[in-house]
Amino acid sequence: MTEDELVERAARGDPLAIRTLYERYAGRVFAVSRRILGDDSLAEDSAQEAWVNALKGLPEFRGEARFGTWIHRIAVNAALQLRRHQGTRKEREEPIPEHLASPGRPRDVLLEERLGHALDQVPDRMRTVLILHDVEGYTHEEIGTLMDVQPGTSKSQLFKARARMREILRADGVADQDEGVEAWST
Amino acid sequence: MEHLSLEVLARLLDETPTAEERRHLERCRRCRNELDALEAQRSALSHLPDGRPPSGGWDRLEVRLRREGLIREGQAVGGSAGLPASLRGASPWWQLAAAVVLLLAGGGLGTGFGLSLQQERTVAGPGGDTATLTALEAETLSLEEAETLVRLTEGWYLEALVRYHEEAGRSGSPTPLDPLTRYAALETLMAAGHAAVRELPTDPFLNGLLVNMEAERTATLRGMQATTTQNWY
Repeated sequence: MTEDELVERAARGDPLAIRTLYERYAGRVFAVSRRILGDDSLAEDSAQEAWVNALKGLPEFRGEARFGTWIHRIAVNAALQLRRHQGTRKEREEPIPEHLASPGRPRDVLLEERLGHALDQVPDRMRTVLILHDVEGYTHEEIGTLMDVQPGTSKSQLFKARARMREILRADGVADQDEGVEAWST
Repeated sequence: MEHLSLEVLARLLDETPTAEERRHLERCRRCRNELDALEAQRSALSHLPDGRPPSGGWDRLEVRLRREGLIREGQAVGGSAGLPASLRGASPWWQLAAAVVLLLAGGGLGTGFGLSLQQERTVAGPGGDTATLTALEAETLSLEEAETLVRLTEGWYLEALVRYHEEAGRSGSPTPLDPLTRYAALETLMAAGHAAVRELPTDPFLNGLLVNMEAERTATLRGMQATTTQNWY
């Protein structure tokens, strides 16, 4: 069954089609929600909201974009909206968890987890811009629309966020001056 | 010599350096290293994997979707939903076969749909085997129990599908292709299916597909044998 057919059937409430779309995109929807919100529980609520909103909007989905792109955008909006309702999250300045400092874990997994941990420590607005631009590939114009800011503001937040990430990772001993490039290049 | 700030270096990932910044970078190894590290950091971020949603996420979402009326009422994902209309409302025996299709197909979708039967049913297999299934959830099965269930239900499913085609043929359902072409196409698919299963012998989705193809091929062959005297071509 093609994705267009799946979407058409999901719009009619076909549970198998809805489940198939969920299995295909749930990981991506949850990941972007988690990165923006920095919290598993909030991300789960937000991801669920995104799915409900997406399925409610399916009858109007014209198929100009791919379903994956469409629901991704809905997930970003849901996460941003939830974060606004939650207010500014308390900034966390936690030391890197012990299990992430363990040398016994596979290197790429360790780097991914350390990246995730460092992302969680970047202040909310900066982190959102960093995620939308460097992780999810949005342009500054798109970010400006999503976050209701000027593209120039998005740019300056991005540069600050990259610098902050670099400081956090350096403090955690990841990507040190001499070995960093090699470590990240793997 | 004053180094470039991290923010300036972060900007240089996207923008061209000024003449002064370029001159500095040419002379300063430390700033070049920082720029390289920032580039590597950006690259690593762009390759972050999606990961998996929390377990139980679908169950909670399904409850909400039903409450909101976004899933049609009366259709359990593990039940007869998504089946051809001809199988809905059929006898429990047929519904069991249908549920097995979903179990086998669902396994390939990651967590699987689970095999959820609403009532207790005693069913008979082709060899006279019987089993009682009561609101069975695939997640609660041990590996050994699941293997046994798959073996049992695979036989039932095959037989059910073959009988379905035979019945459908007798009741005059249209056959879109001539049987020989269909048989040849299924043979090709079967060869590919066997190769795939050899690569991943425990993959439930691939095994489900293979079982399905086998049933189709057998039904097609039987249809050909039954009609050889009637010049199907």
